[in-house]
Amino acid sequence: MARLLPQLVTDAAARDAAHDAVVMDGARTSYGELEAAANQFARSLHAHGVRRGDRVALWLPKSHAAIVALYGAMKVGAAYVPVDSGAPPARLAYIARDCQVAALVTVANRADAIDEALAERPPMRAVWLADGPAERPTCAGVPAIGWNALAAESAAPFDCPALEDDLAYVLYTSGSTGEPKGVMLTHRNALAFVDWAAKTFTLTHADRLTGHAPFHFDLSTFDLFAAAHAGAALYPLPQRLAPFPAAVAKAWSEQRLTVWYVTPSTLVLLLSHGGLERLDLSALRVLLFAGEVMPVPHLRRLMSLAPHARFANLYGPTETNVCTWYEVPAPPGNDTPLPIGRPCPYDDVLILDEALRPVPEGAPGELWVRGASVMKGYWGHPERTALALQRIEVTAGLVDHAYRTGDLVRRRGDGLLEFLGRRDHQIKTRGYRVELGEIETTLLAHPAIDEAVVLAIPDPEITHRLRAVVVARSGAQVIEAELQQHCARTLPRYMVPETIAQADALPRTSTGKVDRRALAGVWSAPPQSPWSGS
Amino acid sequence: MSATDTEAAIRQFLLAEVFYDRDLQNLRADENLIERGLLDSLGILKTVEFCEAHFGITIPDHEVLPDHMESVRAIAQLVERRRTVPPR
Repeated sequence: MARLLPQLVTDAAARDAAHDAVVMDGARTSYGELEAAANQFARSLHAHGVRRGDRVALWLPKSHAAIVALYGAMKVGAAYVPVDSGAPPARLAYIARDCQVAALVTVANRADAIDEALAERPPMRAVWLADGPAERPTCAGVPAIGWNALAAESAAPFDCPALEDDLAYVLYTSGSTGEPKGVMLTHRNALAFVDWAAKTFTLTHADRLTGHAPFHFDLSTFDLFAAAHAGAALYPLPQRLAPFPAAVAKAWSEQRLTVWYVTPSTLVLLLSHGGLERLDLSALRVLLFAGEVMPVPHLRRLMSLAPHARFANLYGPTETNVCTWYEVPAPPGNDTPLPIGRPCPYDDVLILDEALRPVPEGAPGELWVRGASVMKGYWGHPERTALALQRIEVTAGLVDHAYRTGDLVRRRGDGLLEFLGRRDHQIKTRGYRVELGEIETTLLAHPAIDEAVVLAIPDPEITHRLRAVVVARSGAQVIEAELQQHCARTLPRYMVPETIAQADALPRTSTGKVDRRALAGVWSAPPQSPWSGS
Repeated sequence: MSATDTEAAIRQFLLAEVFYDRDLQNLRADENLIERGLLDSLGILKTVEFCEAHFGITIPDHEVLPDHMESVRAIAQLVERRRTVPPR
């Protein structure tokens, strides 16, 4: 029998059906209930023609129903496609069309927006409304089905007609050419990481995990599937609390959560505004962080607040999930950047130069990754996939597909890998991965704009703040607020530049490229600078 | 400054610096900003910074909670409460 992600819930339910699977908003779903509801949703999907190999989009706030939906989608043999719940309808529409979703799960108050955004609709079979009965017969021209309709379906085990190398989920990330790209990940990819993580961090049914990351962010695959692997309880963070560090810290302390998995930006905010010093953190057993560079002074403070807990830095782009890790043995004595550590046992890493030759020991190079967690490719983009996944010689005589991360690293004398930076314009803000090129392309789509550059200005609390400089078409008048609104129509909020200044021309390097360094310098210059707007 | 003025100042700030959406000109003072996804963690930080600077108050971290920030009215009420607290 194929080993697939939904089996983790089936097994947990078989061991202890009454144990908490999901605790959120004052409600509890047990593993038995989750298994039954996922079977019902799988049957509802199947009854409407959703089959193995299809995609099921999820565009709704984190909830018990959203978790039922993703397991139900996988049970029918489809891949779930989580779309940022806060993203504008235009982004949902792009993703739904790009990967031709067969079904969409959302909530009732978004149905009108979906009607409008998907007027030119993908071949969807139906739209499920996860927060109650459907009060309308259709949505985007296909049947609208209320969540109450699932009760009519059998909750008996639904045999998952899929194999390990079938897609389990497709995660869309920012794309430098202006369009998000769908990272295709299989059950085998996910389980390589989940099996290792559950074992390495010794998860048991007694654990309670934070569900901080949204489902379109790959940190959520640990929360969801490592919890199910262990039969542990997941505490998804309600959207209402997420922006409030004091509320998040208090909730996690009171719920006595044992395993936290968050971005460094979140930890920095919890430390600076969450009041962690006054809270009881005695239940915290494992604190994992990933997604960006963890500032060492903050880590030291955290370790002093929870001296009994294990701390580990996990590294890996969405395309490989976690591929290297470093467990912090003791509070760092100095501020040397934290290493990203050693490869996880299911992957190999290579450090190569531009000509794809291994660099000398200790020299900087680009990190390539091969192994069980490496993605299948980008949905619908064989040419992008071919650039990112190349067949290279891994060791003498052995050739395999390896993923080119774009991250520059070096191997230290002690064998640990150290992250040095990016070789392109990909940045992190609040843990989100952002291609500056995607924002620039969006700005350039505005009729009044001739040129646009987006800069990431380092920020101690949220990693980077985004600033744009634009050159208007001659005679055109541009208004900052209008450009921001233009961006917000298609981009997630965290990708909209906080300020957009107008310039007569952009500074160039000798090779004719936009001089980003000069522009970044201008931002700290006094307001009378020529770039401060006109 | 009256409570209405406080609401107006906060509203103007949010519209100009946080929401990026001019279609929100008719935003009601009691409209839930968090449920509508208009305020994220950066928006909250900026709003707190603005209120502290603009109204000359301090807002301690433990007051920055969903109930106190969920609408323009709730934020204005938080500002009014903090005004009665002598500055640090």
